[in-house]
Amino acid sequence: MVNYLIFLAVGVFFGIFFSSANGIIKVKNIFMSLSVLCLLFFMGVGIGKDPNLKLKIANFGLSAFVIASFSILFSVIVVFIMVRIFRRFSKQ
Amino acid sequence: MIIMMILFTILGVVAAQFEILPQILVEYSGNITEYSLYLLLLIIGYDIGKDKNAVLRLITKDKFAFLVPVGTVAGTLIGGYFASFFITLNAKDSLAVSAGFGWYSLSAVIISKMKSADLGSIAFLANVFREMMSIVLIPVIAKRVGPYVSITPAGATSMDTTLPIIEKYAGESAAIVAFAHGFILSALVPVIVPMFL
Repeated sequence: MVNYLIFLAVGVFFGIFFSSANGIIKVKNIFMSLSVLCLLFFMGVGIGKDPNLKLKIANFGLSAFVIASFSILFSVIVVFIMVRIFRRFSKQ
Repeated sequence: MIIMMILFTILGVVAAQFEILPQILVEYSGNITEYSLYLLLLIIGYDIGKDKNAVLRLITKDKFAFLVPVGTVAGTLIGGYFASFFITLNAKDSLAVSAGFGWYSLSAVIISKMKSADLGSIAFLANVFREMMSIVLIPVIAKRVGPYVSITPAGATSMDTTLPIIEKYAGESAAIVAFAHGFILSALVPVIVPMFL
């Protein structure tokens, strides 16, 4: 986790001091797209390399899906309400 | 781009599951993911540093956004509790699974060791599903509900795999909050999951 913070901080440093370099922006966009797709593909590989994946989905898929869906739904509702309340407070 | 993202994730799963990829790529998939992430964090950091207004806007107007992790933890646990009414798991097990916050590898290992391999498998799948659903939902929520709300489905993954999606669809301010959000939730997974076991 500390590594992630270091890489992000180095990026922020470059962003602050080399923000006007046009060449960087072009290269940056290409690298951004390539690295996102590479990251997601190999994240998928990491999930798919489990030889029992199909069996797990068949046995526990529905329970897992229900927990994931409810977790997302309620966290979206709670954060939505929180953001609205805090926006109202910060306007006053 | 979002369709490409979903397609590549599914392609990765299918390629590994049906052993289409060379073994060396499967073996080193964790390392490749890690290095891609380093490159992405450099780029996202660059975008944040470049857009000084985003940082300023966050500090002066939207500092409450750093409370989003509190809402994500509360909402996720409420969701985990309600889910237990519709499945065969009891409330404590369902809460433990949901407290993985999308970090499927760690939560599955903790639960397998402390409770059972079956519950570990459910944790693995539930958190994989959460990550997959986030990839699809973040752009939609960012557009229709708001940038900070779009961070919450991602859970702990908002500091890594889903961070580029948040940055692209919710903007630089949201990316800063998302990184902090993911960092806090990742630190909480090994603390909260065992509490329910």
